[in-house]
This record gives sequence, structure tokens and C-alpha cells, in this order.
Amino acid sequence: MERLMHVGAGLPAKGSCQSPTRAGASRASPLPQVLLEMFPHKILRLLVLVGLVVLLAACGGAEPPDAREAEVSGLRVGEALGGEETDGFRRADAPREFEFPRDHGPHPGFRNEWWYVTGNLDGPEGERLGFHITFFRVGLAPELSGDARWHESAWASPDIWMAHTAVVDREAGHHASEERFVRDGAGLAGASDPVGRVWAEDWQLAHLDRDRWTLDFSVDDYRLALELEPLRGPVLQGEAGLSQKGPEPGNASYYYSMPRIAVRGEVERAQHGRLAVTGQAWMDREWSTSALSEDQVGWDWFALQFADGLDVMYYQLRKADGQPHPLSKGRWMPADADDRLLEPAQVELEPRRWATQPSGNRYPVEWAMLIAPPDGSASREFTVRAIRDEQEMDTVIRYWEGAVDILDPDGEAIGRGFVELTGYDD
Amino acid sequence: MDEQGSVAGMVLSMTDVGFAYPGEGEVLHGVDLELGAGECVAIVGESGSGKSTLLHLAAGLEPADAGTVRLAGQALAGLDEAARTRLRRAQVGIVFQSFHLIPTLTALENVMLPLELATDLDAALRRERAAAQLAAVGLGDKAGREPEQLSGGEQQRVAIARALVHRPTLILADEPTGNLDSRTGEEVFALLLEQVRATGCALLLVTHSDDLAGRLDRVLRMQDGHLQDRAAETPAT
Amino acid sequence: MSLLLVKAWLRDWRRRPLQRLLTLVGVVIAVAVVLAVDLANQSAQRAFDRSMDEVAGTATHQVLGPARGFDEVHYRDLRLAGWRDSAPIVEGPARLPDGRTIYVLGVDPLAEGPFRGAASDIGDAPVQRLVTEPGTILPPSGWWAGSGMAHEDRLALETAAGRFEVTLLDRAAERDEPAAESDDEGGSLWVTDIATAQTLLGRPGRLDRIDVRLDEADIDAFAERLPDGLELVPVAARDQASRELAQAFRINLTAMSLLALLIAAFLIYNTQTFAVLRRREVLASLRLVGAGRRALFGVVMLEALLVGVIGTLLGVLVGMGLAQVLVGQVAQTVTDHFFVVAVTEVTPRPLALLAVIALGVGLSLLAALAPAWEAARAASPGSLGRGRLERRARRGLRGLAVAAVVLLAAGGVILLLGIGGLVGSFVALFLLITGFVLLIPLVLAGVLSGLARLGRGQTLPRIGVRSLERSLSRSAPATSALTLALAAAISVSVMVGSFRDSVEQWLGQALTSDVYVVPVAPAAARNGARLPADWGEPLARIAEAESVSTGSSQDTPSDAGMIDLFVVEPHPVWLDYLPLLRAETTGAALDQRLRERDAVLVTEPFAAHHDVGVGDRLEIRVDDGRRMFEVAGVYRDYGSPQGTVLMLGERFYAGTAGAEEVGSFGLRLPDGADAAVVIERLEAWLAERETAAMVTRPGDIEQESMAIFDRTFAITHLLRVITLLVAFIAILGALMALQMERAREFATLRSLGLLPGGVRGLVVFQGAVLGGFAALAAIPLGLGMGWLLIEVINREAFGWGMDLRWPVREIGETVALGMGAALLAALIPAWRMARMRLVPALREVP
Repeated sequence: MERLMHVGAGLPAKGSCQSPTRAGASRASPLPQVLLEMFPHKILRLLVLVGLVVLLAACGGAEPPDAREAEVSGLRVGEALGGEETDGFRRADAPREFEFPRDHGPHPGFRNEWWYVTGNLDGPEGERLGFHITFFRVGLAPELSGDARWHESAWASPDIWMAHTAVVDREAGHHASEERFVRDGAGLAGASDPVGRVWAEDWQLAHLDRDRWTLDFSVDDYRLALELEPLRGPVLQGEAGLSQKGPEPGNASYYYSMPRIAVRGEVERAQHGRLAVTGQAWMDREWSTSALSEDQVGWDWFALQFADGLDVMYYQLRKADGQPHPLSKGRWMPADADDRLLEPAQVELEPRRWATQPSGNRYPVEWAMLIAPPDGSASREFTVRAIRDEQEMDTVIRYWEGAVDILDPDGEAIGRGFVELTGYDD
Repeated sequence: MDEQGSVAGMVLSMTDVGFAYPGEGEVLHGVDLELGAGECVAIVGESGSGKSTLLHLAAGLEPADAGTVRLAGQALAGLDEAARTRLRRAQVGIVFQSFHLIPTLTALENVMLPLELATDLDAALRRERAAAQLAAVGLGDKAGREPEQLSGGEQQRVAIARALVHRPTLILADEPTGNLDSRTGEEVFALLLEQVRATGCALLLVTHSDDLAGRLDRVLRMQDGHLQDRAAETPAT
Repeated sequence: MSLLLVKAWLRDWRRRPLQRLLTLVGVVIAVAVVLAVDLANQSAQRAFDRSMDEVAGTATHQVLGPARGFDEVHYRDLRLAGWRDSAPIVEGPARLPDGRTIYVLGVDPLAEGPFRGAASDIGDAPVQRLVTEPGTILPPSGWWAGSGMAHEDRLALETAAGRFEVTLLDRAAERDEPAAESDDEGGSLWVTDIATAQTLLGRPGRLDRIDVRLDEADIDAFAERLPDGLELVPVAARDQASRELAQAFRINLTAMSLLALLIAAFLIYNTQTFAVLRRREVLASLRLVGAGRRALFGVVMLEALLVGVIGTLLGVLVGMGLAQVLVGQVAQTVTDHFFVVAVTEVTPRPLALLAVIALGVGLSLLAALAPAWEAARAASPGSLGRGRLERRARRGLRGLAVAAVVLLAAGGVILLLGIGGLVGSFVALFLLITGFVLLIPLVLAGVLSGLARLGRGQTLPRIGVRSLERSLSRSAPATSALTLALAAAISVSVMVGSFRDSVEQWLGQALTSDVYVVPVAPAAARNGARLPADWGEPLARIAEAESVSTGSSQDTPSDAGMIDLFVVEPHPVWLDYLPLLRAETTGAALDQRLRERDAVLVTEPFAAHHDVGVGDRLEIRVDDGRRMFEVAGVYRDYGSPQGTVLMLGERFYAGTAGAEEVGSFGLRLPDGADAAVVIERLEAWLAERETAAMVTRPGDIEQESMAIFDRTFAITHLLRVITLLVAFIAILGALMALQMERAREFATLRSLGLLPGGVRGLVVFQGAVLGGFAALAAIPLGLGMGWLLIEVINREAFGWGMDLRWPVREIGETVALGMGAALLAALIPAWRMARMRLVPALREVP
């Protein structure tokens, strides 16, 4: 009878009572400060990641909310930038050959990579909806350190994933957003290689290797199941997809967009029933290991799809003095002609109306925009107006990400789009 | 009466004895006293004059501060507590004003106590002798009673029996009638005297009653710690 | 109450400081013991709760699987199905180089948010390094101070999977800024990333559990989608058993402290009464000058209040010191039997402190009531005489006896009807004890008067005995205190002795192999370490063993909650050695029954806790799912206070491939085989294996087990010593009171010729009489208490049965101890009486 073995082997040799005293309030530790660089969205991501660390640090609730906010607001993009470690990561330091659908898949070795999809949806009864989902991979380190003995676990990975989703349902008067952090490992989140899917738990963008993609995710009690069909090929941003961010080689990202994607699918709403939807989406893709200029406080990013087939991307970086930064740029993508770089000098952008969000932050929700197209065509003057004022993301780092209408000077709708506004919180 | 007897033959002799309670000044000073065998002496005096203290010194219950106290010719000062106790129990019997019977013992047992302490008689003999002594004080029928079951006079008779039972040479009696009414007191005193005379031992009696004192061989007066011989003034019988 | 009155009364303190001290000692000890035990209990409880909370966090349920863990893919599937309030855990014990055992919790920091935060140190973790540098670990922040290690030092840990060098991270050093001071207590867990934990604890690709938070409404839906082999268990159910047992242990301790309190109460009563009686002249004089009864009562109570307050304050200080000693003991016991707990410093809770202060002061006041009443009743100096008082006391004896009978009856009824569980049993025990103690004065009076009659003619002994009898109000409480203390000592001897014998005997029976092969691991968690099952054959070959047995212990869900399941493949004729208490059948028939049909044996504690008996059925999760098993027998086992279910391997693995890993191997060697040689050969073979294992012999196991046993009961010995100390002081106080009250008698005896040595002898004789009486009275009381502890309390608390042993030697020792204590206590009063000045004593008013 070996029961005793377990008494014998089990009970002895304990001992060991430490006497822990202590315990500091949780504080933001050395951040897995990551990102940066990748353009507008990237900066956002950086901020969010900073937030992530704060969040984790505070995960016992030990951190009072205001302390957490102080932590966040106390952080300057530039500082994080200066301390950012890029050694060991690959750099976007030369033009590269893009190939699709391969490049819809992951590019390991770079510190950051993201998949960003926004879209406007219509219901059968004229319901107006918008959605937003981002998968963001962060390399906390170029590779795992330490003895290889420790690297065998499927959980061992230097990467983590952050994902955001949001949905706006105008008729239901509803806007919601959600955020999750998932580790890259054990099948919980990742991007498949060869190309196929990107997922963070049950949020998933799949079939990227096919003509029609699927996108499934939830936001609170909204669940979206969408089929995405790109109507237009990838548009390389910057110079042939290499988007230079600073004077040094490697301080750049690889960046392309899928500006026009047809959407069809279903939105399941807990309160208001199931809705068949159609619409148009936009995907941005970017990967890099680079740093950002120090003098930017935020940005206003526009992805606009005109009814006549024109697509426009433009981001305006704001300097501390409120002026547009010279690195601001965009892309002019007519339906039937070559796309061209859009420079700040060619764009006039002016906020018309501001709205206070439930959080208390104020964002511009209506813009006047005047573009002198780089291809010399007639200039366009129009208004960009949020379909709902309150579309701020309730995430660790708050930002405004919302569906918009494009109106001509007569007030006629001539297109739709998505806008991202950052750096407006107090 | 052999008042000039030698020191060696004296039952009790005190020479120039002084005594003081701590912080209270001298109680006795320059006391000289000699008691021959079979001599019965009374000491009278006011309350607090030092009579009782004299008795305590004589019994060796307290050591004298000055002078010499001899019991049966032995100087107490040279003896340790145990030797002094042995000398006392062999030579002295004490009768207290408030009887001082052992409440947990019967009358007979109280009387047996000195025999047990001072002699090596066997138990049967002790009992026999104690019973005889108790009968001699008229309490033969109350031998089994406990002190609480006896009257004051009876208690004091037991005490007298107890003092005499082991045939001491000296009885020290401290106001033996002080706690008794006058009639009982008279009876008890008569009994004491009778027993003392019968056994032939000496008696040193402390009393404030001149009447009782007068019935003894000699009366000494204690005044402010001094002892004055009043034998000349008192007609002896 | 006039100030002068108070002064007149209390000035005595200055004159007799020693006696005041004695009065204080009772209060000090009572308060100190109760407070210390309470503090130790509370601290251990907090540590225990915190450990539990740290491990479980805020999870409502846990998903559990087989002991070896389950595939991590199940966690991914849950997450991908949208069950996001879930966190994967890989956990287990590890051993530090200094031999101490730690508990490692492997978590996914990104999933931790909802679960463990403030309760552990996880909220503070430098997530990035844990994730990107596998092999790093966060010791509890309180550990660093005494460790001599620093941030980023490397440390060797031994676990079920072998030896590993880990890198220590100090969260303080990882922070940008110094931590804000905070008084919340640190955790006791060593936290690491789940990837590290899988390697460190030998769980590649597997999880030990998944913590989940479920709303009431979701539970069924969740449970339904769990794959076969996984169980959803409410967290509360999981540690319920441990909590209850730890609580039983604490109730035991508290009862011990209350016993000390009871004895201390006698002491206080004694000294308070004495303090009043000794100043009866003062009392009488105060009465004569016109002090009212109420004023006298008040002044005595005021004194008691002072004594109570001063004694309580001192007692609190002493108690906190004592608690430091006790808390280590208590925590060790909890660690040995239930869970690794780290005890933090002892901090009195304000409420407990208040309660103890109220107790100390209240006790002093209560104990002074009777003497204060006496003081107030005394109308004149004469009436305060002892005789009258004692007569009254003797009249009171009858009342006491009636109360005693009532208490005894009440206790008996509670026991017979089994009202109130463990607490009820203790109440009954105390009723019985109190009843018995209340009988003591009557019995003592009878014995003393008997002795006095016996000693007729022996004047001096008779004086001694009679004076004790007449001072019953002094001698009886002191004797009761001593009796109680000695009885407690005897009962603990009976209980511990019986227990120890039973355990030793059981160990001898249970260890049927000549040599064991066990994993090198601190198996603090039963299901921790494993050895490859296919070692059995080579081990048998190398050892030339006659037969090989295996045993594995694991936590398993059942319809009785989580149970400790022991899966064995025993030697032939194993049942001959198993101490079966009740069974359907025996020997070969039982063996066949257990092998061929779904049947199990359960241990005595298991049967008690789960209220199952032979023929009852249990649904137990085995390797391939849940099945019904019939309880075929109950056997004696002291291995686990929670209780264990024993199942043969062939039933557990019925229909599956069989065990891959086992907890241990037992090898039976042929007669005449040299175990030392076999061990050498086995060790040589084991040295070449990847899995660390070691060879032990039954003797080593016995020794270790008995060491744990003795450690468990060390605290009861400590309390026993304290109890005896209190009793000693009670006797001392009583004898001193007695002698002073009898000073006049002694002086008379001395004047009649009793030598000083005779006085000493008389006093010591009295001490001996009291001590002897107490010692003799303590034997039946102690044996009775011991029997109750074994048959009622222990069964109720732990479910353990044991063979009652009459510890003759210990009883002899205790009697000697009681006599010794009484004689020792008599020495001081004897010495004082012998040196007493006679004349003042003779002058005392009778």
C-alpha cells in the first residue's frame, strides 16, 4: 500500500514561510513600449500599448482610475520614441517587391504590424451602420531571450496582439467599442503564414488568400459576420509602398491600402434583431520598425470613398502649435486613373463643428475640406460630417474613430468614409 | 520564700533587660526579675506598661534587646530559634488571654499537643496523661469537643490543662481571665492557682487586677517599662 | 466613595508589591494566552485565506481535468468560442536550494486582468520581461529581504520536472519609480509566465486548470460545452474541505486557550479573595469609622478594576510576544496538512483586542464579586472571622454540587444527541469539565475530613488536614485549578499518545514495500510529481524484486466534490496489511471485487466527512469520464485529514491505455536481499534517467512522517506548560493565603514548642495533600477528557479514529508533576511561616 508514499513524500520538507510585507501600488513599469512610427494608426497604437502596460500593471484594480489617466497623459510620444529599442528588428530600409495575396499575411521580424478595416453599412430599411476592427501585432522583443530550454512552450512568443472593434448603429442610437489584448501563442491570436487569417480569439479576418474574405467579430452585444470582396487592387502608399518617416534609412514603413471593398453580411443585434447589411469597407496594412518625429501631438486621418469611384486617403499630423506637420500626406486615388501622392499643400482642412463625448473629450465632428488634386483635375470642395457625434473609442487610450458622410456644398451626399482623430484628450 | 536564691537555681532570671519595638521607643528597660522554683509572682500595671512584653521575653518568643534572660539557668541569647523553642517547650507552659486553642483540634488533642511536641511518650500514654490533665481541670467529659463548642471559661481551662500537661517548671499566664466574665474569671483563676500549686511549678502572672495579684506570693508593679517590687507593701500569705 | 477610603484600601499595594504581582499574573496569563492563540489563529487564517485567494483569485469556477493536466487546446477553444473571462493556470510546488518549498503559479499575464490582482503580486508584474524572457520568475516581494538574492540573480529550483535555473525578477527594480508605500500584504506565490511554468513544472502543452468567471445563468451552457475529461468545479467547493479542516484545527486550539483561561480564572478568584481577606482589619476599621457597605463593595471592585486593567495591558504585550512563537507553529501545521501558507507578521485586529481587553477586565471584576460581597457584608470585625465564612462556604458546597450535576447532565445530553457538531462537542466537553470541577470542593471536603479522621491521634498531620478543610474556600479553587491543569495534561497525553501510537502502528502496516522509488520533488501538491509508468519493469529487474506496486494520488471531481483519489496497483496480498475497519468482504474476495467491478475503498476520515459507508455509491471521474463506484470498505488511514478514496489502477484505467505516469513505485524484495545493495543499483540506474527520482526506505518515510506529527502537536505541549504554570501559581497563591490566615494558629503552635522546621514540614505537608488530591482527581478527569477528545472531538474534527491507549508513564509523570508543582508552591509560604515573628501573629484577632 503506497498511500503512505504520498504522506511521506508529500508532507515533509515544507518549511518555507516567507513573510511578505510590502506591496507598492501598481505602477506602470517599463513599458512594452513598442511601436511607433507606423503612421497615424501606428502612433495611436503606441499610445494604446502604453495603455496596455498601464492596464496590466493595474489589473488588480489597485490603480485608481485617475492615477492611470495621469500615467497616460504624462507620457509624451516623443519620450517613448526616444527610448524605443529597434535593435534586432528588421527595418523598412529599401523598396520591396509587393506580392498579393502573400503580403496580406504576416511579416515577422518587424516590430509592429497591423491590419485595419473600417466600413459603412446599410440595412434593408435604410439603417445606417459603421464598423471598425484593428488587429495589431507588437513585438515586445525581436526574439525570445534566455536558454532555449525555456522556449518549448506553445505560449512562448515575444509578440502580443491588441485588437479593437467598434460599431455604430445610427437608428438604434448605439455606439460601442471593445478592446482586447491577447498573447501570440497557443493558438489564441496570430496571423497565419502562409497567408490566410488574422485572429484574436473569436475576432477573425479570414480567407485573405481568396477573392472573398470573411470578417467575424463582436462588439458588446453586436456580432458581425461579413463577407469582404475587394473591388480595387492594393494601392501602395509612399514610394512604391515604402513610406519614409524620417531622414534616416530604415525610419520608414511598408504601407499599402485596400481602399474599396464591397461588404455583404449580417449584423446580429441583441436588442434590435438581426440585420442583413451591405456596404463598403477599407483596409490599411502597415509594418515597420521605426521611430516617429517628436513634434507631433496627434493626427486627423481621413479615408474617403466618393460615390463616383474616387478614393482619398489623407492624414494631417498636428504639431504642438496646432499647425499641420510637413510630414502629413495622403493619396489621390481616382476610379479610372493612376493614384498619386497627396501633399499638405494640396489640402485645406478646417474643423467646422465640435462635439463633447460622454468621456468629456471634445473632437471636431464636421470638417470643411478643399483638395487641389495632384493630377491637375478640378479641385474638390466638400464637407465631412460624422453620422453620429459620439463615436469615441472607449479604450485605454481614447480616440475618435467614426463613420462619416461626404456632402457637397449643397448638402447632397456624395460619398462616405471613416475618420480617426487622436490627441484630443485633455 | 528564698528571694536570694542563686541564679543557677532560678526557674527564670532576667538581668537588666531592655526591649524596644521598632520605632516605638523603649518598652522595657533595666528589668531585673528572678523567679525560684514553685514561686508564684504577679506583675501588675497599666495597659501598655510592658507587662505582656516581659512575658514574651521570658518565654523566648521575642529576643531581648539588652540584658540577659535565663530560663532554667540557660541564657536565651546564646541559643538559636530551634534551641530556644526546645527549651521553651520543655520548661514553659503558656496561658493566653484569648486562649489560643488550635481550633482544628479537639480539647483532648489540644492538651495532647505539648506532649507530642515536648516528649517521646507513646501515643497511648500521651492520651492517657492528657485525659487525666483534662479531668483535673474538670473537663473530662468534654474531651472530644472542639474549641468552638466550648464556652470561654471551658476554653481557658483547656488552655490551662495544655500549659500544665507536660510538667513545665514555669507557667506564664497573660491576663488569663481578661476575656472572661468576673465569675468565670474567678473560677478559672482559682483553678489555675490550684493546679500550679498542685504541680509545684512556678507561675508568672500578668494581670491588671490587684485583687488577683494579691493572692500570689509576690507582686511586682510594672510602670513605664520599669519593674518595682511591691512585696513589702503587700501582705503576703 | 471617598478618596481616603480608596487610599486606605489601596495603600496596601505599596506594602505588599509581591502579592499584587501575583494577582496580576493571573490576569496577565489569561489575557496573554487567549490573545496569543487568537492572534496566531487569525494570522494563520489570513495567510491561508490569502493563499487560497491568490491561487483562486476571483474565479467563480475552475475547469479541472486529470491529475497530469489537460491539453492547452481546450483553453484556446474556450476563448475562441467567446468565453473570455477565463485564465489558464499551470501550477505546482518547487523547492528552493535551502530546502524550503514554494508554490509556483504560471499565468498568462494578459488573461489575468479579471482574476488575480490585488490579491497577489501579479498586478505588479513586469509583464514584458516575463513574456519575452522565459525562465524568469517573480518571487513574492516579501521574500527578498531574507534571501540574500538580488534582482536578476539566478536561482536553482527543483520541481517535478527536474532542476532548473531561473532568473529572479524584482518588481521593485523593474519599476521606473519607487513603489508607493502600502500596507496591504504581499503574496506568497511565485509568479511566472505560463510558458515558463509549463517547462518548469513539466507540463508541456498542458494546463492544470482554467479559472473562469461565470454568471449563474451561464454555468450550464458552459459546462455543457466542456469536452469529456474536463470538469467544472465551483471554487468554493474546491477548498471547502481544506477550510473546514483548518477551522477544526483552530477550534481545537481555541479550546485549549479557553481551558487556560478557565484555570486562570481560578487563579484570579483566589488572589482577589486573598487580597480582601488579608486586609480584613482594614475593612473592619473602615466599617467602624462608618464606611457604608456600598462604599466597601465599591472600593474592592475598584481595586479589581485596576488589577484587571493593568494585568490586561501587560497581558496584551505578553500575548503579542507569545503569538509570534505560536503563529509559526500554527502556520507550519496548516502548511503540513492543508496548504503551503506564508505567515505574515502578527497584527492584532482592533476588535479582537477589544474583546480580549474586555475579557481580562471582566474576568477580574467577576472574580472580585464574591470577595467584594464578603467585604461589604462584614458588619463588624468579629463577624469577619474565618470560621463563619468557612461555614458559609461549606454550606455553598451543596449548591455547587447541584450545579455540577446539572452541568454534567447537560454535557452528557449534548454529547449523546450529538448537537452542534464540533462546536457542540466542545461545549459539551467544557460543561463536563466545569461540572467535574464544581464537584471538586465537595469531594475535597470529604477527602480531607476522611483524612482527618484517619489521622486521629496524629496531632500535627491532623492540624494540617483540618486547617485545609476549614479553609475550603481557599484550598478548593486552587486544587481545582491544579486538577484541571493536570487533567488537561493527562488528556493531551492520552490523545496525542494514542494518536501517535496509532499512526506509528499504521505506518508500520502501511509501508509494505522494502524500497520505494519516488520523484525528486516537493510534492506539496499531491498531484505534482510523477514518474514514467514504464519504469516498473526495469526497476523490478534491477532490484530483483518479488513484486512491484505503484501509487498515484490526485484530486478528482466526484459527486462528493473534489476528492483525493489514490490509484494503486498493489502487491499481492496487500489487503492483509490494510487496516480495514468495515468491509463487505475480506481478503481475496475483496481484492477480486475491487479488481473486477467498480468499487473503491475509502478512508475513515473520508467516510466521516462525506457521510458514506459500505455499500454507498460515489460517482467518480476516472481516466475516461465519470462512473459510479460502490464503497466496498472503510480503512484506517492518517495520511490525509481530508480523506482519501482508494481505487485499483485497473478500474481507474479501465477501457483506456493505462497509466503513463505514476506517483511512486514500491518494490518488495525477496527474503534475505540486501536493501543497501539494491538501493545502490537502483540509484545508479536512476542517475541516468531524465526524470529525477530517488530511492527511499520505509524507515525514512516513517521518520519524516513522525517528525511532522510531532510538529503538529508541539503547540499543544506548549499550551500544556502554560496551563501548568498557571496552576502552579494558583496553588502558590492559595497556600500563601492559607498560611497567612492561619498565622495565629502557627504562632500558637510555635509558642507551644513547635520547631521552625516543624512549621515548614506542616506547610509542605499541606501542599502535598492538595497536590496529591489534585493529581489523583486529575486522573479520572484527564482520562475522561482524553477519551472525549479521541472519540468525539477528533472524530468530529478530522474523522480519525484511533486506539485508546492508557499512557501509564505519562499519567505517572503528570501525578509527579502535580505533586512537584504543589510542593514547589508550598516552599515559599513554608519558608515565610517558619520565619514569622510570633508575637504580632499571636496578637492577631482570631
